[in-house]
Amino acid sequence: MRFLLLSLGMMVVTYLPRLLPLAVLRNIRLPRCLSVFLSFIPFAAIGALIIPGGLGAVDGDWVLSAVGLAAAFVSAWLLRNIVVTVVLSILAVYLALLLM
Amino acid sequence: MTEGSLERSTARPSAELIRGIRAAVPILIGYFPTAMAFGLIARNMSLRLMDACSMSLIVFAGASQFMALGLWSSGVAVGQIVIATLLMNFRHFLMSASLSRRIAPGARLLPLIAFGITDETFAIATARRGELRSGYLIGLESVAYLSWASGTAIGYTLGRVLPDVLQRSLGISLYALFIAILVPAVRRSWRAALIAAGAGLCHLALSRTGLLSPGWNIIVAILVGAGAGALLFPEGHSPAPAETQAQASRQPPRTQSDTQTDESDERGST
Repeated sequence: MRFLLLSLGMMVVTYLPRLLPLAVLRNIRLPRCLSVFLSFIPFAAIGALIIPGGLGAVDGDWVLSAVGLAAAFVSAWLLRNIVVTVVLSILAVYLALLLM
Repeated sequence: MTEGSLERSTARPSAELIRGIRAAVPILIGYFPTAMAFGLIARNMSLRLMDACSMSLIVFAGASQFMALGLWSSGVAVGQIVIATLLMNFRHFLMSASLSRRIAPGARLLPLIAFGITDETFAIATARRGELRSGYLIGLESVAYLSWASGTAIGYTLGRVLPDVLQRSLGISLYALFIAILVPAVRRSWRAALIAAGAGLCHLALSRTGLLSPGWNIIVAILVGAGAGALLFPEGHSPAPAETQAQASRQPPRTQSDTQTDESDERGST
């Protein structure tokens, strides 16, 4: 029940920014500095999600997690494919779990 | 080239709808497996099928849904996850503003079209020439929406048959996805990496001091990272080459070209 409440709250704050410029505030122009700030938010959010959360991703073990993160980074850099990157990272952790 | 002018005369609603559906095929290929990962992770966190599906159906914003799962599993309060989501998804405001200038006057179903704006549907729609019609956008967005929703349900259901060691390794998939979203932006400019690292270190420092609750830690870290980025690099993610600046001064609606640059930074996130 609490999770459905979360989904509803997320829907409101996701839908309003999508709706307002299209339906109400047509032809709005944001100040340059504000649109730069907004465009940086996803990078900052991803950084804050990976550090420190990502290092406890696998059973709270930072070595196993680091193996997966490193595999993801190398794969994303070389192959530039989201799905392949996620699969290879899972595979790297899987192999590390089997070896330990 | 001539397509833009032809479109105006031959734009029947059903033909536009089919064009939109065809244009959505790359999105379908990208969304479906990503949504499966979302369903799988939700199952691994002992959420119910209904929880995972209802979130995909009513929120329909990939990166923030994954973020919500991460925060939920570390016990962050609902209100704080919602604020973090607002920050994360406010970029759609820019995309919606940009689309509003391209949509044919008198277009219908705008509230429905607004619901389907994501990084990817926006990228495909802006790449198209000429005025955008409701039929095209509805076709494009419905395919994206249906693949996201069905992928969630199928990923959740398939999770049942996976062996235990594999399920434990799935813990990394969320973070692998974040890295896969971030790395293309880092390849274009190290600024993305610097902002991400800054926000991450700020988050780490805040969680060590324990001054704020975990939900506020991440909100403050995001604001500090993006704010410091905007102060250090007021010109945005990619240093604007002289050519682009010349184009921007020739085109009066300047925000539109800005938004398109922003959008290309986000490509790959859902």
